[in-house]
Amino acid sequence: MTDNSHPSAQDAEQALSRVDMIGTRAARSARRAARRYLLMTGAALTVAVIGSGLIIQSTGAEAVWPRALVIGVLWAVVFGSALALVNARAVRAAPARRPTVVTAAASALVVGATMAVGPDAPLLYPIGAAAVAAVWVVGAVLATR
Amino acid sequence: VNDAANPVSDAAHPTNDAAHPTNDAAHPRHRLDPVIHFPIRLSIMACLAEVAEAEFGFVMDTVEITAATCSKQVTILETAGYVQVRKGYVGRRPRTWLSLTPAGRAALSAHLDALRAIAGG
Repeated sequence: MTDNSHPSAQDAEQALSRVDMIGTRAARSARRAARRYLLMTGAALTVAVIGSGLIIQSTGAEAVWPRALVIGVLWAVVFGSALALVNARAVRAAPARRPTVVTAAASALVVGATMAVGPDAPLLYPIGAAAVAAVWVVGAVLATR
Repeated sequence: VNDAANPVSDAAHPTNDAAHPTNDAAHPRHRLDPVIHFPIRLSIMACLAEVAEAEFGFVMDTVEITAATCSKQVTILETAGYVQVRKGYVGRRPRTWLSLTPAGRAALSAHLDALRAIAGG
């Protein structure tokens, strides 16, 4: 098939088959990119929750503002690094919307509960972090099937 | 595809045979987009249709073309409003990111529909 010819049925089939082949190759890379994006988010949240727990446990209850500032910086650095790593890849792809929203909502609940109860029960930080990681792994699998 | 884009036609594709009936305008080939019709451009668009954004090098490797060819065809697609080109940096290295515009997605979809209609006979 060239610019100046009318495609026959065979030309059209060849073009469609080429589109299919290249589309499949690109879609595979897109799925990998979306999965990496979700897993990286999960990893960043896990590190941020554990880091927050360590900061809260290692500082006194009176140092509320400095502690909040350090935790904010930690979250910004962790998520900034994760974003930089993801964006450095050759392909960017958006994961399926619905499973991603559900994953984010479930993760927010776990993070919220962990951060709320964690100061009274420090053991909850690693447990919450593991639960957050698990939520994002499941989300990554569901969103990129 | 309009006549200007397909000046060679009548000998190979008479307008009154079974495959190309007199009611020429109804034939799906008229719905083919002359910009996307070119195989390399169709391949570039097929590649970009699957991703949100892809680096120039990824498109080049996936479509199996040289940088010069890719650059030339992307410029044509960009001029047509089908592809958006974004320059950026990863660290200090300059990178070029390509993505389909909404008009590009619509045009590709219509073009593929026309190809399916032709292939389906």
